[in-house]
Amino acid sequence: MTDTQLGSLEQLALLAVWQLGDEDAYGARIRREIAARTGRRLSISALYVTLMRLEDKGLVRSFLAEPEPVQGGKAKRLFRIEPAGIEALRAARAQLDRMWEGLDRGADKALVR
Amino acid sequence: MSGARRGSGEPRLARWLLGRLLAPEVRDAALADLGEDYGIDRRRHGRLVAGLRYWREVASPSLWRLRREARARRRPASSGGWGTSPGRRQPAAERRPAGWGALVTELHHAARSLRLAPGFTAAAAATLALGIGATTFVFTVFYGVLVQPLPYADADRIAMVWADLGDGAQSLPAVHALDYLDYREWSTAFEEFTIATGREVILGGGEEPELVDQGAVAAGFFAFLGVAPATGREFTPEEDVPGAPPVAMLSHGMWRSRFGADPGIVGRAVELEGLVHEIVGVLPRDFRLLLPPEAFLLRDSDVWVPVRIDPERLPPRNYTGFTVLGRLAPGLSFARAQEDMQAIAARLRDTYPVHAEANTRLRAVPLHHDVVKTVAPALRLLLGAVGLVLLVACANVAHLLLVRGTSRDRELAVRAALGAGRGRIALGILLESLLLGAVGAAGGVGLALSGLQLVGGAGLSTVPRLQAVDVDARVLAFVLAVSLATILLSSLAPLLRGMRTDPAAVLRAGDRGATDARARRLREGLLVTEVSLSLMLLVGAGLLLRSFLALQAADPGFDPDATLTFRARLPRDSAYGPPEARVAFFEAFREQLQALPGVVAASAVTQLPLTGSGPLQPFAYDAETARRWESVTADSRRVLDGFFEAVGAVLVAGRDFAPDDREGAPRVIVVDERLAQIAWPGEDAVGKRLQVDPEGDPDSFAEVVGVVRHLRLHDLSRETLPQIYTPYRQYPSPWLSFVVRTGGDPAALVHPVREALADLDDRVALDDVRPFRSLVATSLERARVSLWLMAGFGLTAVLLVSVGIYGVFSWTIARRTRELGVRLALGAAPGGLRRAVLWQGLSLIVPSLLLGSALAVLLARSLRGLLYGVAPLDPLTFLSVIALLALVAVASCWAPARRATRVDPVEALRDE
Repeated sequence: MTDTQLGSLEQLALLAVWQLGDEDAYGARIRREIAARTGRRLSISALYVTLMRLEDKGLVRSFLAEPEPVQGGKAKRLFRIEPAGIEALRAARAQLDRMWEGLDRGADKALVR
Repeated sequence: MSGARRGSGEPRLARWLLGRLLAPEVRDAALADLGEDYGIDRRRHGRLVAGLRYWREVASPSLWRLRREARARRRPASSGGWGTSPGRRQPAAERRPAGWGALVTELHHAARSLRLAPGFTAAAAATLALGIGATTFVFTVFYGVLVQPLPYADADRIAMVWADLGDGAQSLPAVHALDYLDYREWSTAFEEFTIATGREVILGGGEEPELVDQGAVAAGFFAFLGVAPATGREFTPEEDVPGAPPVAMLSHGMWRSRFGADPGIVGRAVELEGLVHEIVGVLPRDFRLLLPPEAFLLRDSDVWVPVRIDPERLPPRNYTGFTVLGRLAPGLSFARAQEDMQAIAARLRDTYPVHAEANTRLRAVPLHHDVVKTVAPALRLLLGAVGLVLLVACANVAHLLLVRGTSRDRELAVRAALGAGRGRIALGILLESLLLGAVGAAGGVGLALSGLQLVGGAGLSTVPRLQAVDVDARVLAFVLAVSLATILLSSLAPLLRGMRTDPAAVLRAGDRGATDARARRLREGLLVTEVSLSLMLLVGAGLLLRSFLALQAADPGFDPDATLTFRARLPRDSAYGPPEARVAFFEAFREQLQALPGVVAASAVTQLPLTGSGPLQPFAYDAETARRWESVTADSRRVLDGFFEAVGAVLVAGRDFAPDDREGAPRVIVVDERLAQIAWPGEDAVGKRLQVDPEGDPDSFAEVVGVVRHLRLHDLSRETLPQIYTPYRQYPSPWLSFVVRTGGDPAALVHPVREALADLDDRVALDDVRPFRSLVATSLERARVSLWLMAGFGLTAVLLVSVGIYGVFSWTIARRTRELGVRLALGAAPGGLRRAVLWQGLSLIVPSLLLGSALAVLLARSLRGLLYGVAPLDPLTFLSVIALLALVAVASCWAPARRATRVDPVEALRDE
């Protein structure tokens, strides 16, 4: 049913949330995951803009975790991917795959030649 | 507001800003995220990178996007906030305060007009960056070293106790331990005193014996400073009594290098001077014991032990081997502390004959002042100098803005005519300046940071507290203030002009507006200011240069070239207990050294020149000085035979020590020319007898066998105390510093020397191996750094000035194109025209140079204390600087003047 189009940043953030699973997907961790896998270092505000939009679209859900048991410890906001989010990612990938169809081999040839 | 978490180390100002700017929905989570990443970055890349990354968040444009977006999703009544119900995104509401639109429009306009004039923008921004960067750099160092309190508890109440003995015979931050007990008893102004001393010890138990600094401190010494050990605890009063079991604390560095940062260090053992000590604690990493340079026994040490004052085993009270710190009671002034110490000294003199004889006086010196006093004058000078550079930069930017302003008169006039109010026009000018200022400030902070890294990497050992220097919120606030002031000052002139412009007049008169004359006067005034300020700076730099050259050329009384120095210390065990064994070892070692290929001469001394003050030796040469024993003192050095040859000293009379001058033989000494001059003016000192021990001692006289030229032991820039040299053989200590003169590269000797030593005894510790030259370089370091910075500032100013002059004349010529064209068309000779234009330029330069010279005289006077071997009003410096600036001025006028005579009359006339 989803016809939600994902921007590239949205895809990265969504994939990172998915990769990290339920326990560990919070801002700093998501940002490091993206940086480690792609070399892209987002500013924290850019990341939150993206996450906010994803939540608005119903693709992720966020909730507050228990605060850390240290003095002044803050509650982390954890993110969890929603079924719609997984569906949107699959759709985005399928879309890309269809666009790539037939190019891979040609691209390889071009490189070989 | 979110409670700030202490101790996480994130840049506080940035955190505060983010706390304000982040949308409230994500604020806490994002700050926690940033804190976590900061911690990781700091561990991986260091504080600077982590700090910069943190600051980048403040500058991120997404911050504003986030705010807008959050505000938009708050708008629909259905959406209660983050995470409750997914709301639809709404277009950002255009609800802005009145005038907001105008501001944004003007901002866009300003940004666009800066982009359209890349040359002007680059010049102005670069000038601002130079000025702001240099100022930030110097201010950061100045603030970190001179202003910021020492990193101790109630540091502003800590005083160092100085004792003055005799008639200028000794003035040192050194007292006797028993006196310290009396201070504690008698003081009425101090809350608390603490005591420490130090020496070098051999740290054993490893592969190679290591010579380390050991501090011996009273129980509670670190608590006095407000320093808590990183691991373990500090010494208890029970451990600080004679005969208690041996315990030690380690510096953080020693803990890491020698014990591999073992977390279970407490309870382990360390062998010091052959005695096993139990380790009770490790000091924190950033702990430094800051002391005045005159403190000679106590140092920022590697290992620490309890001081254990034993009244039974202390020398008489005039042997001052301890450093005492006191903390003033709250609310009392240092003047009050001084009165207190004076009263204590009077009581000491009344109670103990030794103090009465030495006329002991005590001083309480604020510790901070004591620690930084040697660099304070240079830092103040540099701060002043960089302030001048900033002023020159301001003048230059004002200039650029004015030039730009006049060429924009028409644009502004059109806008005014079309109904733009004066406020609106002023706003435009102001915003453009602020935008420029922002770019300049960013560049300046970048420059300052690289400068600081450079300085940090240069390892300047002679500037105290340099490790503590850091860009923090206060420094950034300063930068902000300076940048704002700079940009406002620079745009003041253009602003006033822009506001006064009468649109009708401008539009009527075409290019050569009615405001030309006033504009020119303004610009000329600025130019005069710039040139005179630069002249002032250059004179300062020139004087420092002359002074530095003189210092380098000064004859220190020794020759540091092609010479290797190092220290050797005997292990403390029975083998070297008897003095003869020490003498035998060092004499054998010296012979080995002399036999090494390439060695011209080798010998040793108890303390090398330029490595700090050493022990003092009271002396007497007549009844009066004998009666007031300790009223005169000399630097005392013990030497092996051949020392004067090895160090390159000049023996002006008599002889060097010889093997016959051993223990038991008559006491002999070599003195320097100063002592000979004081004791026996006009006479031959050789053969005279000098009293070197208090009366009553048997054999208290020594015979002078030689006189050497004075060696500058403390400071290259001046002769200090007279000197007495005694044969090492007659008083053998367990260590010596060697001086090995070679025909070639001293570094080539390092390996053979180590081998020679290991052949004799591999338990002897060797350290401080370095060329003699490097000692000289270190002692010149402060002068060199001041010189570099001052010269850097001077050259920056000259660069700015030449750009300024060039700019003004190019502009003047451009505006006179028509007139020049007419004159050429009417047959004026190009050469004459060129001269006329040049002359116009020089007519401004001459008064600037005069004004600048007058200002430079004022500066030079205040420099007096920093100069060596050159008079403050040195004519050579003044004349060369004036000539240099005149040359720069002519060169900067030359190109525009040439362009003037290349004007094509036809083009010029068609211009209109």
